[in-house]
Amino acid sequence: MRRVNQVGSLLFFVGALSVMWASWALEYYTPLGPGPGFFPLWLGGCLALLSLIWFVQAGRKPREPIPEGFIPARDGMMRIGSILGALLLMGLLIDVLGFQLMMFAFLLFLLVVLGRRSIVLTLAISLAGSFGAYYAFTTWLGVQLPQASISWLMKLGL
Amino acid sequence: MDVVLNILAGFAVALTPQNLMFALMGSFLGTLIGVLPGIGPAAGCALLIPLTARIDPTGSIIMLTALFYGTQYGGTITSVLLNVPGEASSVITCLDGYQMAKQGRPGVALSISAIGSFIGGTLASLALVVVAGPLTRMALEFGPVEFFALMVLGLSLLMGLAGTSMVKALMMGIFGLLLSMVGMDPVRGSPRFTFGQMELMDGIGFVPVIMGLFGLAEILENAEKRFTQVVQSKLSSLIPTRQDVKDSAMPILRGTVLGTLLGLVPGMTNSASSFLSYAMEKKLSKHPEKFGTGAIEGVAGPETANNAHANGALIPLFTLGIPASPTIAVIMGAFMMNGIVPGPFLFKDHPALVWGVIASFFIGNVILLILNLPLIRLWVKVLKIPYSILFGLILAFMIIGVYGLDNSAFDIMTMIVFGVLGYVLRKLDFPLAPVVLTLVLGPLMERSLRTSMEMSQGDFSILWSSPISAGLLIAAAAVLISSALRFLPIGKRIPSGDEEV
Repeated sequence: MRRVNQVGSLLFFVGALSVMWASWALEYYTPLGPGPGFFPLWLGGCLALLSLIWFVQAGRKPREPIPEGFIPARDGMMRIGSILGALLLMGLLIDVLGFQLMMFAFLLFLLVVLGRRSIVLTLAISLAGSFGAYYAFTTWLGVQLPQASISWLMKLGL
Repeated sequence: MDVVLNILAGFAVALTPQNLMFALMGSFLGTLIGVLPGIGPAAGCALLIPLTARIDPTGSIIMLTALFYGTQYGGTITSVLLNVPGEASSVITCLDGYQMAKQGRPGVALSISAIGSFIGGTLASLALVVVAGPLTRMALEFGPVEFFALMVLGLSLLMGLAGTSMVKALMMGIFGLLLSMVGMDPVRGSPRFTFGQMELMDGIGFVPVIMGLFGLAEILENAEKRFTQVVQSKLSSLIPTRQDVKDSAMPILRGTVLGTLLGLVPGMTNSASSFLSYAMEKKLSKHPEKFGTGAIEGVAGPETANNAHANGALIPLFTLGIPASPTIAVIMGAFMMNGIVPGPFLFKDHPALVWGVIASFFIGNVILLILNLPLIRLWVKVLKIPYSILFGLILAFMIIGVYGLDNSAFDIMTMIVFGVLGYVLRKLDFPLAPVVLTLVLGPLMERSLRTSMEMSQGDFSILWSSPISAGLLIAAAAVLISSALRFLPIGKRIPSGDEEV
């Protein structure tokens, strides 16, 4: 666990240094007081210092094995990967294929892979969560949700 | 007399059919979020923000605040029936509430906790009515210098959210402040850390960050385990005996006072209130040995305290503009998205809104009592929905909430990034609550400091030139030192702020 903490602290340290470097390009002080770069530069410095303190603290602790469950088991990893992959595709394609199609595919995939319920129930939830939610949110609540940008899908009302 | 007239005018606002509907919706959703696993009050409030963007500010704040204190009611149900706390503040209720359920008295445990929650929430709202006037008058003396000092004090008090490591809490606080600096510089209007991305010109979206850190990270954590949940629970009679009422009366009163007072302290969580109330009741009881075996006092006190805390914690937000917890920071974010800055000027500039919202707390608590007593069977049915179905629907709502705010897929990506980050940071035992609080307070703090500096032509001594700001800064230093001492071996650990979210 010590190594994990030390790697984490170094990542924070590098992040803090890059914040300081980016702040350097901004105006530090103006005749009227601190400029846009003042706060981030000091905050970056404090973060770098705290990262080093964490590094030292981690190094002074006795070696101990990584706690059970810290790294998820293979099937847990698969589930997390499925959720993140599905979300990533949603983010990339929602403006292209539209909310209704994407959400239907998203729910269908997650409920088939992770939910493992009957196909009728899975389809019903996917339809309600996509086409039903689109209708409810756009018609009743005035929330704008994207339509497909591909013309033939648009013509189908998707 | 002014207070009476103001609160009456508030009731005139809160009792309009539209605002009653918002209070009902907020209370219903709050109870639902309290009952459901996998989503806490902070993510729940954030989820609702996009919907509230299209309704008037009074209605939206009424709905969000009702959702916030509604979660405290809902969290009890799973604690009593399943021995699984719906919210962190209901953890302690498991001890005696579940024992009562095993003895065939879950209905009594739930009805006493609903009544206690109602009394605690209502009396804490009354405290807000009483102290609002004097606190606001005092705070009206504040200029940017005093406001900056107040923010520093607020942030130092939030070190109470540190959890197990002060260093990690400070790192998270700074991380939140740095995030708040992305976008246009508040004084000079030049872009900062935008990397040429148009989407970052308005800063990093508050809602995607909350959704990611608290909503998605929680779902990813749950996804490590197989989604199995079988709930079989039956309710007994809800009517308590005369002895139950007698045994609960004093714990409810003590819980109200304790919860309201602790709610005033930024950084003190609902969980701390309920834990302290339980400890106090056990200490004061003539039969402490009964605690843990189904003592009604062990349910009545903590459940009252956490609700009184929830309403009491709104006092610093309304009067001073300091969010006492991450969920209240989300509510503060909703205020600011509507162009309203909570604090002393709220009462002066938006009296109809603020008194309407305060009056709605009384109405909301009545609605919650109705939702949690006669309609308790509805929530027991909700508990039977498997998590393997729920998580997909929660994700769908998160996507709608995040996308619907600015119609931007970029926000979905932001949520994913912060979801993964939140998941990793939780693994490394970082408290996430300070990130949210500094993310909200950061721009206000920077603006007030830089305005003060402009007033003094760059002379830092302006910060301690007024007695109020000097006093506040000294208090902040004292709080930070005492917080640091807490991490020495002699210190005691209090529950971290993440236990609320």
